[in-house]
Amino acid sequence: MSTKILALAVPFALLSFSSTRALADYEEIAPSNPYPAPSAAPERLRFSAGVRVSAQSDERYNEIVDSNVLAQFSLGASYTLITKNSWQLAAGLAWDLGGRSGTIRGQTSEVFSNRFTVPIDLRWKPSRRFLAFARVAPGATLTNVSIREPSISDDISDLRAAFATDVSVGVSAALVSSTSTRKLWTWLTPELGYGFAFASNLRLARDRDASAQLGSDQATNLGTLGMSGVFGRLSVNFTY
Amino acid sequence: MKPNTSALLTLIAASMFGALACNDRAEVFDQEPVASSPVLALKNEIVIVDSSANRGVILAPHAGQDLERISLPIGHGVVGTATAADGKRAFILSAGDVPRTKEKNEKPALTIIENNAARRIEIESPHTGIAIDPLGRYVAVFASGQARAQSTFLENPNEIVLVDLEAPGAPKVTYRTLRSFGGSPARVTFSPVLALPTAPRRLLVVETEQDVTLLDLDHAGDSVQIPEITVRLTSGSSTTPLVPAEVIFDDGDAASTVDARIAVRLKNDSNVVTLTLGPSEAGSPNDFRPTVNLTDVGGVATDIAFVRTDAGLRLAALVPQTKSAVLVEPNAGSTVKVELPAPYAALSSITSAVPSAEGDVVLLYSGSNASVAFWSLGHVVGQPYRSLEVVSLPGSAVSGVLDVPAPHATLKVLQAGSSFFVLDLVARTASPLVAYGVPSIHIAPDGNRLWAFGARTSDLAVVSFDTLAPKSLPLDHAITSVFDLEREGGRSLVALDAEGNYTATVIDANAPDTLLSHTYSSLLLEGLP
Repeated sequence: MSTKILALAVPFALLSFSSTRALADYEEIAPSNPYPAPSAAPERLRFSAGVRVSAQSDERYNEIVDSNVLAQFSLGASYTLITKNSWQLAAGLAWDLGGRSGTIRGQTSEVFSNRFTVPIDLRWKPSRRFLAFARVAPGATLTNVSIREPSISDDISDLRAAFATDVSVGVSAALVSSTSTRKLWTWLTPELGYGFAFASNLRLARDRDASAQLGSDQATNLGTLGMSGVFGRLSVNFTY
Repeated sequence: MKPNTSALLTLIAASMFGALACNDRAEVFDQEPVASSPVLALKNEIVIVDSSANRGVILAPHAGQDLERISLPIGHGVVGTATAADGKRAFILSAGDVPRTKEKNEKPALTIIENNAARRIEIESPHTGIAIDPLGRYVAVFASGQARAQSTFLENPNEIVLVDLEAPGAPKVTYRTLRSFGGSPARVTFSPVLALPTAPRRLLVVETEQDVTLLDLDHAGDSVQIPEITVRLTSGSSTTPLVPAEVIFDDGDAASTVDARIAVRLKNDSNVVTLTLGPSEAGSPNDFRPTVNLTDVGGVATDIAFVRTDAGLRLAALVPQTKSAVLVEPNAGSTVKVELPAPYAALSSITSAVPSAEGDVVLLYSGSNASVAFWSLGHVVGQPYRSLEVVSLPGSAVSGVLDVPAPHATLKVLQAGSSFFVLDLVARTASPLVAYGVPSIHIAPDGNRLWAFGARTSDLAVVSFDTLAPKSLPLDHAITSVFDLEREGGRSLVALDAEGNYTATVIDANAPDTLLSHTYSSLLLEGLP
């Protein structure tokens, strides 16, 4: 448990430090900054890469891997569709992928989840170096569950897809500009939300062709699993 | 903006930590199944005792090689298991939660699984021994001498907990403490119905390390308890206690009520003990009284049986030490010694399979001898040498004799190392079947086939008793046990591997074909609470 807390505390601590430092740097150096501030023109493209950590609320997940924590890599891209005053509406594509290994009744187990979503952001950008956003991201999860079974010297597994939606809020603070043209900007973006996914029936079986089976392999019924839960995401964004 | 951003980040972190704090799963998911868990075979299902999950997992085959899986709660701390002779009930004895500190903690209990349902009978004492009445009415729970419940600080080793499953209303639990002369129960046996002087009765026979106790089952639960009868086993010539090794029963002549007998084989003495149950003396609380008779058979007997000979009822005792069998006349105690061609150590009556008007026929065998002998007891008087017929089994000592039910009751299966023999009791021939490795044998309860498998290998074969032609049915997982079970419209074989979370393959037993088999993996991951 302490390891898990530490694993989350470190990124959030870093996030707090770097965000506040970034804002502080801005306030302190702005008057003498030889470079112009980020363009007041709306950003068009935003690319993101980061880490998403979620607390899975479905007890089945915990039963399978002995933890309710799921850490995933996050990749995304969005395009600003509408800009009006300090408000922006953007849409894009996002992919969260990651899994967790554990044990269940003495055997190794793993849950690996892909989450494909279409994030729709409503952004409020009161200054050039800060924005806050609210996001709705409908999509789908593709989750693979596998468990080692010594009696057959093989894994049993199941791959399930389910409708999913993330709802989140976050802030984004500009860190540095990287080019003299001032068009490519780097942002640090913490985000908090809830990811919902419909539960699917888990029916695990050996993954082998029918021709390789002796008779037929029957599935092991492990009940249902829904990849839902509170999540936090820390990402680095690049805007252009 | 700076203070607001910090507050937001703090809120995010606090929310995440709160959500992540609740991740303790139920303990059962941390418990690996016990590989040597008992598997109880009933007529149409098996019960895997998943003691680390406090449950019984029922596997019931259906048509099409389907396997129904049902999870039922059982008591905590399993210490003993048994099945009813008719294959309809499974019994699981549990010691309960120790120490019991909360109201929700369980007491010792007997869980009975029947018709896919479990019922629990709480008992006060966490004993480890369990004996099942072959007629299905009683269960006796007692302090088994070998394995006491480690969970209990203090135990009464002479207490017998008797559960009457057919008591009106609900099962009745009776606690009896036997008078002790220094011994404690080692084995408990239920008698068949015996014609005793006043009425037919059933007895509970309790063997300790030095005596035998008879308890009248018909009065065991009376409010005013009738004391049990204890027969102390001494030879009279020595103070060394005689240790009982086995008890057997005979009801005697159907027209007589004074000749029911119990015979006791002794572990450490050349005597055999016969108790004849006759009328009691006036004023005795029990309405029967055992008359004790000790007979020296010349060596420590390794097996005994009541047999009908051309001279009447006899107690047959095998004495491999003297390579002989001794027939004891139960009234007078006179003996007839029959020299045997080999030191046979065990006998099995085959009279029901091959009836003889002249007397019983028994099969003699030994784990150290490569032959079996038919002993026809219709010829023992005057011509005992003519009563024996030996069938040699080249190179193989017989380690066990398995009965075959009807319609092939005239067959027996002899286990002998890597071979086994199908013995025809009528033709008196032994057909060998040879395996690579030492096979485990399972006789189908319908008497039509046997299954042979190599323990912890995937080798499986079936042999029809009609043709004795083996059919190989290799599986793709190891096998620890097989069960030929009844289902609607036929029978199914369930081949179980007890490694990991258990795997089972289901095959149609009447038309075995692995291509039509179904394999179910990780059975003990299903149905968890």
